[in-house]
Amino acid sequence: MNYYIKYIEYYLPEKIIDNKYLHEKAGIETDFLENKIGINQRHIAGENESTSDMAVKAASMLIENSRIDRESIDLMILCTQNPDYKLPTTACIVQYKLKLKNSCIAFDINLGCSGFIYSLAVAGNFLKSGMAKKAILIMADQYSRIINYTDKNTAALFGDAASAILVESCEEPWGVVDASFGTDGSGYDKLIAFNSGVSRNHDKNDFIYMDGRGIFKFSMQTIPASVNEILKKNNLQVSEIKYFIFHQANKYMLTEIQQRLGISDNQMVLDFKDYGNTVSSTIPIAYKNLLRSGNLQKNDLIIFCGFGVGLSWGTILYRYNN
Amino acid sequence: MGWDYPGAQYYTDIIIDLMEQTENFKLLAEIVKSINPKAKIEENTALIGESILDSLEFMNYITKVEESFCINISDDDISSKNLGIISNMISFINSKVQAR
Repeated sequence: MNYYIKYIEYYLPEKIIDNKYLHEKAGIETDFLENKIGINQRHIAGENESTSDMAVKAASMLIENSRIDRESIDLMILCTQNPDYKLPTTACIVQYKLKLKNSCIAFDINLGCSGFIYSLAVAGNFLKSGMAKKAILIMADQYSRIINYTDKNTAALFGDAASAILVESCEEPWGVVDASFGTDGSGYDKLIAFNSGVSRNHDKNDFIYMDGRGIFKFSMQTIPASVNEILKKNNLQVSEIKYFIFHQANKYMLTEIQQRLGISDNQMVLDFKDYGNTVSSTIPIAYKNLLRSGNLQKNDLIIFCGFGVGLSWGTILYRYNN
Repeated sequence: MGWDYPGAQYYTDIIIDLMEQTENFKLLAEIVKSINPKAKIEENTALIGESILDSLEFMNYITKVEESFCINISDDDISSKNLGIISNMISFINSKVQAR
């Protein structure tokens, strides 16, 4: 039995932060933001808009547009690093707001930029085991709540978003072909929100901190290796992959990964200009827009690769079917 | 055939050092050009100060130097040893390699 992505929807909050604002606030040149980082604007959640609100908006669009019976959803995984509360788990709140049945399995996964890959694999194993038949994944993050918009290292990159993904099992050789995962917790402090949990560090503020060079070095040394590993395991060459959809971190980082792997421009999906790095939603958003473009054909192979905070990464080899 | 006079080893070491420095300069220049193909590099070039590389490119440069020479460069090293200047980087690399 295999599992595949049947439908995707995403939600972007109305409020927008553009490069002019960041130039005024953090002194970052707009030319640098547009051409080097590759981001023109980011959406951020409204003052009273919670992560569960965003999750419900994305999931409601998914349920409505895919025309599935919400009674048939027996697994819901919410991936977020900005939960409504430390407890209870936000998935329970979303299960209630979405009016999903009480027998629905619902839980959070706390992962960032690798979150979609992990969530998809976890859902897949529920489906393959028969414990669930229809799963929805929801990626929802509001990094805007923990960003200091005068911090040049982080202000420009992140945007808020939620995405919802319907995952089902199938007998045909479609969907997820192979997956690999990795963790390097020694880099836990490369991207961190100090004082956001029970651990107190009085020398640090409550905003997100990023060691940009540490994250860049990790990305350059780990991600090409992860992709090459899964290609080699499946006897594939880079040229046999129709599209590479990496976590949409920023233009400079992805272009460097592209060069290191020898990926052509036609194969490389870059989709962050209008929303920035939306953490666990970047891959679903980019894939949804690729589906909309109509450029995929049955049996095309895709690589999904998420990486970041943790440090954590995951790569999926995927065969497109629908 | 080796040189056989007092102090021969001293001069041999100097020549080897000079050759290594030249090789290291060439390699550093290649790294910079792989990031900014239009860059013109001399030993006293200040990569950031002379706008050869921007902040993102400099981060990439340091990562590539670490990979090419199998060394680790800390943030403290970058600032305290002013590694944005090519000649300083060459000296730093030599010290790291000799310390192995």
